[in-house]
Order: sequence, then structure tokens, then C-alpha cells
Amino acid sequence: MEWLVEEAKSKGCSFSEARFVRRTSSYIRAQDGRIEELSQRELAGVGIRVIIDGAWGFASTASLTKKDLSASLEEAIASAKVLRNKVEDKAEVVEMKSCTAKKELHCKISPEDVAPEDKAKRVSEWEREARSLDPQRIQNTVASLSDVLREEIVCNSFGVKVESKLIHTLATVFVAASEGNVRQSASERRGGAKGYELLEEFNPEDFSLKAANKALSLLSASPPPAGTFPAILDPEVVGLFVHEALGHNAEADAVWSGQSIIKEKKGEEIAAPCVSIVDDATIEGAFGFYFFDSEGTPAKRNVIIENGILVDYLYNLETAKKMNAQPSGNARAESYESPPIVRMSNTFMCPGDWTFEEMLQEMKNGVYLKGGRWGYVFPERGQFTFNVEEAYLVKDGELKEHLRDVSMSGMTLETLQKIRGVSKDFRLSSPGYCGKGGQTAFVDNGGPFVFVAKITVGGRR
Amino acid sequence: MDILEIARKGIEKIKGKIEQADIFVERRKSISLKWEKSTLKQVEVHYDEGISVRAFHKGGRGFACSSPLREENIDKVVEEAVSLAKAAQPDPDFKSLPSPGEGKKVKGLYDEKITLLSPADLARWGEEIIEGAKRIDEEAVVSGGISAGSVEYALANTEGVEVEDSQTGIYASVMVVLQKDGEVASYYDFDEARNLKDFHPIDIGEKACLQAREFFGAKQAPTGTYPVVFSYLMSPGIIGAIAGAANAEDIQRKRSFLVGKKGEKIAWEGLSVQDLPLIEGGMSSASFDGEGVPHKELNFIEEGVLMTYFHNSYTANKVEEENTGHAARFSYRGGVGISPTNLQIKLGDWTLEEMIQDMKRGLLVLSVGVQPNMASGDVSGPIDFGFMIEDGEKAYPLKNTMLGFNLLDLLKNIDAVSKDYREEPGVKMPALRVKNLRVGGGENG
Repeated sequence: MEWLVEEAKSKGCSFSEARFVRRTSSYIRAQDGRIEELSQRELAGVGIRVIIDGAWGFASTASLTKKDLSASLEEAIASAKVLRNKVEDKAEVVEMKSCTAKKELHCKISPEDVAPEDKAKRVSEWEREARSLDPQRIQNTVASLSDVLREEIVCNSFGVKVESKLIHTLATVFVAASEGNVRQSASERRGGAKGYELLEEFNPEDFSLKAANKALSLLSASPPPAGTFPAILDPEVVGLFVHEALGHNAEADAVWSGQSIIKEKKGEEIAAPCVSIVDDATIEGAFGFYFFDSEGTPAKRNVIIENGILVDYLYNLETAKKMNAQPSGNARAESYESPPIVRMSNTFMCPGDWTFEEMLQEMKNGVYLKGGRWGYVFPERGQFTFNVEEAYLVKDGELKEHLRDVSMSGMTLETLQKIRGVSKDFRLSSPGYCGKGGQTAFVDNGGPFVFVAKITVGGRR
Repeated sequence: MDILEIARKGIEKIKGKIEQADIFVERRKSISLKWEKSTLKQVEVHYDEGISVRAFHKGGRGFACSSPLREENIDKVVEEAVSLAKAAQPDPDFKSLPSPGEGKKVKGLYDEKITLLSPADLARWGEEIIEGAKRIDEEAVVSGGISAGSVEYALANTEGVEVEDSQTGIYASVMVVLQKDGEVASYYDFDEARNLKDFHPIDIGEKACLQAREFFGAKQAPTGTYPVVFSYLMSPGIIGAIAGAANAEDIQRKRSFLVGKKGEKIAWEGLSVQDLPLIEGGMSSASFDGEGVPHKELNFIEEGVLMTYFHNSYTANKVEEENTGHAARFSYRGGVGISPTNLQIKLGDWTLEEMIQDMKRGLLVLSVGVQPNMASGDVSGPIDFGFMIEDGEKAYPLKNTMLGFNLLDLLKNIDAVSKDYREEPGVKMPALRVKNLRVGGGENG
């Protein structure tokens, strides 16, 4: 690896970086009473990134022969040379201190030490528990368990050489139920940057049976009304909001390229005073945990909003240099094939001092939105959309009609300002994969219960 | 080494160790250029190669994949897949992998000119796309990218299937963001092709910028029920969601809203859709599917009637129906799923302009987030780009406005398909008009 960086230097690169990634993963899925897939994947390769005369070049290869690695370096250099007279926004990076470091996540139960048969047994149990709750109405149950061992070595021309090894484990269960013409589904997931000790941290009531109960209860839920309502968001929906609606806007590449609604707002009050939002890659065991980012910067806790004030953005080496900031340890690459880009890690809203009951009483009438399914955002317009697993109409401060298939939409800055209350209860419990620029990253998000004065719901009545 | 030869050798190694198996080998090369903040940003060059093995023991399946294509890795994945298959539970629904079949070779899927493109070629297009947007609005912030690549792949199985093919593709997309008096408006466009002769990306920056300008002054529509015209780019999303629910795996697992609907009238009688995998140069065209089964044309919806589900060999054998050849395998890294190919809606007799002019008060939707609950078919999504139409004209652009509907209700409520369309290789995309949909917005209108 170091020789690639040295060779790049000798060929006139002002910055060079060689990154080796090996990803070894296993996946087991049980469906409708049968283990139907056991798989094993191992992918490895090297990504090379260079700057020549203010232009980036990047090349990756799955072939690890010296000849092919040299050829990749040549391709990265040739690519940078093509752009060097055409780039107006010149590439430059913050200088790093030379360092060598090696970190490894030590888990209590390594997935490698568990036989496929034992993994399969556990997954079958989850699937059976969910199915057996109501075999008449439950039509389809899927449970899965995956583990990913990710080894990354980052070498760059500042003399940085960091190595890290991480393990991520994820358990999921999906249940589809039907009654008459109504079909509904629900899921649960548990995950962390940890080994199979994760599986000791939850029980069926809290996982497989919870998903099954949810799918069954949604069969008698109603489609939502359409319109604009006051709303209480649960921690999973809040997690979706802080990640999708705010977090992507706080990524400095979006800010620098003019696609963020919070550009040039540092120091301004952009949210209600009860709102503080943090991105923290150092939370041990959380799904978005890591030791170093993919540029070799150590992981950090970064405050984005504090008491309503926009404190800072999330940076990589390039945006930190251009925006006169410190790298925040948020440059992440999915694999050797992708250059590091600015990403979140574990993103959450900090807890406040309300209780859920107080929120219901204060809101009186509105909707309570539970369980984030998916979301997306147009950062430049500040518009977000989320689909939630279930919801309730709130009447006179009480949960009334159960609602299904609910999506909500709003404008990020308007919504942040319209937050009226933040609860003491807090959960960081949405392990998943965030997609950006064709890459996925392990992330988690969450927060407290949040009371918002106004949100638009897409309904059928 | 020749990749079909690698697959063949792998099959020789696995025979005798397990009842059935298939081996997929792939080499992929791509070059891409990204632009951001209206200037070229970065070129990326990628090379990838790998092998995957699916092994079946008493129907139980083991899957393993690895890169790079080294002799020892090939031996390793063969052993891993065999041992995983033996650890899997038997599956009596698995009958057999496909046998060899005769099919038609689709033309126009590989263009050597694409493999010869250099970073400089991509940079020229990138500059022209950015300039196109800037000609319309000097302050436009333009982002996007262009990528070109080739893939060669081979598949062999223990039943005698041996197929190989090469494909190329090129894709460009652009997002234009405009600002005026503190307000932001944006729009996107794209172009894609398998052959350089079909690739015309130069004007996408200009087109996106012109469209973005129309989104200043956006307002929330009043909550209510309106007729809706879905513009050209929306029809593949809507029909694609229906086709996604016709995946035989989801049907057999009873988690699709199309369970039990085959042979039934599910849509307006004016709606017919074909799946056409053999179109020359089509973006989703291929001579054979992901299990080596020759592709053929299929009527998906005929005059409103759902004619078929989409099968791979497993789902077809399970219910003893004909395999429609829709096994999907996108890379050596993944397993085999089910996917439709080029879905073509039968064109109607309106123009998009006539649909708009005919509307007293309704919505024109250019883009909406169609991500249905596949179990119920319910969609609740935001109108990403759209207009309120009043007296046959665009009254104002929309923001913070949502649509809520069930896909089966929508299909029955379609009452017009346009004869004009946007065309990308392999598919003509007409506009669709739906009688009444529920819209969530501001105060009731």
C-alpha cells in the first residue's frame, strides 16, 4: 500500500491515498418454515485517489497484483490530468499529521466462531415465533441474520497509515398478514457494531412477536385522512427526520456545492430552542460506530444544532480545507470501489424534558406517527417525505383510530421551527443503511418523542 | 482466461459434490465523471471481476461469491457453496435448474465505441451539459454525472446451460438548482443508451434548467379530490410498481396486493402493457435471463386484464407453470431474484397537451414518490414536481402536497393514455390520466 502512495508522489501527485478494503459477510434467511438461503461473500480490492494540479482522479481494482495496482494508479493519474485545466473548484485537502494506528473491534461472540447450523437454528426460531402467533392470518414470515467483517487500511501521502477491523451484526424479521381483502406487513430490526452478543439483547416479545402483532393489528387500521395536522413523532420517525431532512443538509459537500438549505446559516437560530442534534460515530456498539473514517481521521462526536442554533456541518478533508474547518471524521466509503464522501454515522436529536403524556394533552387533536419505514429528501428545496409504519388519530388528548400506510411531508426549516416539545424518553434504535452517491453506509438514528405543530399527511379520505 | 471457460471448469469441479449448481462469472469496467457546483469534479475508473456459485442439495440452497478471479478463490467459493447448501434445510419446492433452450440473440446491446471512451470524452459532454444550463440561467447550480461501462458475463449450470454475453451502457444525469429572491427551484433530466448512436445528452442541462424555472412560486394545493395527469416520466414508475407486485415469489408468499388477480380485470380496459426483453438496444433487453433461460415477449396486462405473473425457474416449477424467463441477476455479488424487462404501455389517442387543456381543475404530476406498501398496494407519497391546473392551464407549481391512493383503484380510474411519449432505448413512456385521486395539502379546497 505505501509503495502506491510513494509512486504517486514521485509522479507529481500533491495528495495521494491508497485504501484496501476486504468485506467478508454471511447471510442467513428463513422464510415460511424453511431456511432458504445461506450465503457467504468475500470481496476485496484497492481504491486509489490522487490530486494533480487541483484535480481529483480515482481508480479501483479487484485485482491485487502489483501490475494491476500500478495500472490503476496510472488510470487515477491520467484521469486527474484530463481534468486539471477544466476544474474551476480546485481540489485541495487539509493537511493531516503523520500517524500509524491499528484498531480492532473486539466482540464477545465472534460470528466466525458460530457454526452455520447454529446461526440457522436461531433464525428459524424467530421465523417460527412470528408465524405461530396466528397461522391463519399470517401469510408470510421472513427472518434473517447477517454479519459483516470489514477490514480497511488507509495510507496517504501525509504519512497516515491506519488500519481498522469492524464487525456489524443485523437481525431482521418481516411479517405479512391478511384478512379478507386487506393485506398488511410489518418488520423489526436489531443491529449493532458488535458480534453475536447482540442476539442476547432482545427477546421474542420485543422482536419477532412484536412484528407479528403489529402486522395483525394493522389489518383493522384505517387509511389516513389527507391534510395538515399537529403531530407527535416517535423516536424512530424523529431519527428519520434528523437523518434525512436535517442531516443530509449538514453534510458539507452539499453545503459547499450549493445544494443545502442551511448553507451560510452557521450561528443562526434555525430550529426551536428545544432542539439539539448530534452526529456521533463514537457510540460503542451503535450501528454507525467506527474508529476512523475512510480518510484516516479519527471518529468524533459532532454537534450540528445546539439549542436551536446551527453550530457546524459534517466534513471530509476537502470540505474542511475549503470551508476553513477541522475534518469531523465523516468521510466514509462503502468499499474499495468508492471514494470517501461526507456521510453521517449515528445521528440523533437530544432528549428534552417532556413526557409523551404531556405531549398528548398539549396537542389535544392531531396524529401520532410511529415507526419510520422509508424517507427521502430534496436537500436544495428543503422538502422531506417519510413513510411510517403506523399512526393514530389523537382526539381530546387520547390515542383513537389506528391508521395504516401513512406518509408525511414537510419543509425542513419550517418543521424545525415548529417543534413545540421534546421528550425525556430517548431511543437510538434504527440500524440501517443510508444511500448517497451510489454508496451505502452503516448508520443509526433516533431521538426522543417530538411534538410538531404542523405536518402534511397524504391520505385517501 | 475466458470467463465461460472459468464457469465450465467450476461446474466440472462441483459435479459429484452436489446435485445441482450454477456458476456466474463476470468482468466489469466503467468510467465515470461527476460534476458539482457547475464545474467538473472527479473522474473514477473501476475494474471489477468475480464469481458466484449457487449450489442445491435436496433443494436447500447455498450461495458464495468472491473476487478477484483467482484459481484459489474459485475453489474456495465452490467448497463454501456446497457446504452451505448441505447446511440448508431441504426444499421440496425446488425441482430443477433450467435446461438449455433456443432463443433469439438481441442486437444492439454492445457498442465497442463505449468501451473506448476516455475521461476526456466524458469531460467534453460534462462541460456541454453544464454550459447548456448556464445559457438559460447564468446563476444555475448544476450537479450530476456521466458514466459509461461494459460488462462481460458467463453462466453455466449442471444441467447443460452455457451462455455468455457482453453489454455496454452509458448514462448521464443532471440536477439544476436555481435561486430567486430567497426561493429555490430545481429539476432534473437524464439520458441513457446502450449504443453511442442513441446517446444525446447535450441538451439535458438546458432542458432541466428551463423546467426548473417553472417551479418558482410553488404553493400547497388545497386538500381535496382532483383528476390527475401523470406526465411521461411517471408512467414507468406506476407500471413498474404494478409489475413489481406481479413477482411470482411475492404472489406465492402471499405478500402482494396482486394475489389471486391473475386472469382478472384489474385496470381500465384501455390499458395494455407488454414486457419486451428482445428490443434491439433496449436498456433492459437481454437474450436470456439470469438463469440462462431464453427471453421472449409477454403480454402483462391486456385490455385491463392481468395476464401473467413474472417467474424464474423456482417459482414456475413450484406451481407447475411455464417459466416466463424473468430471473434477474444483476451482479456476481447477488443471488437470483425476479424482475420485468422493458415494460411497454400501449399508446392511446390523446396528447399530453390535450389532457391538460381538457382539465377544469386538477393536477399535472411530473414526479411523485411511488413506493407502495406491496402487501396492500397503498401509496402515500409527495408530489416532488407538479402543477395545479385550472381551466386547462398551469396555475401554479406545487409544494408540500401529497397524493394518497391504492394502486388497484388507480389502475381502474385511468381513463386516458397519450399517443405522444418520451422515448428512452427500449421503452416509450406515455402520459396517463386518472379520474380522481385524493390530495393532501393545505386547508380544504
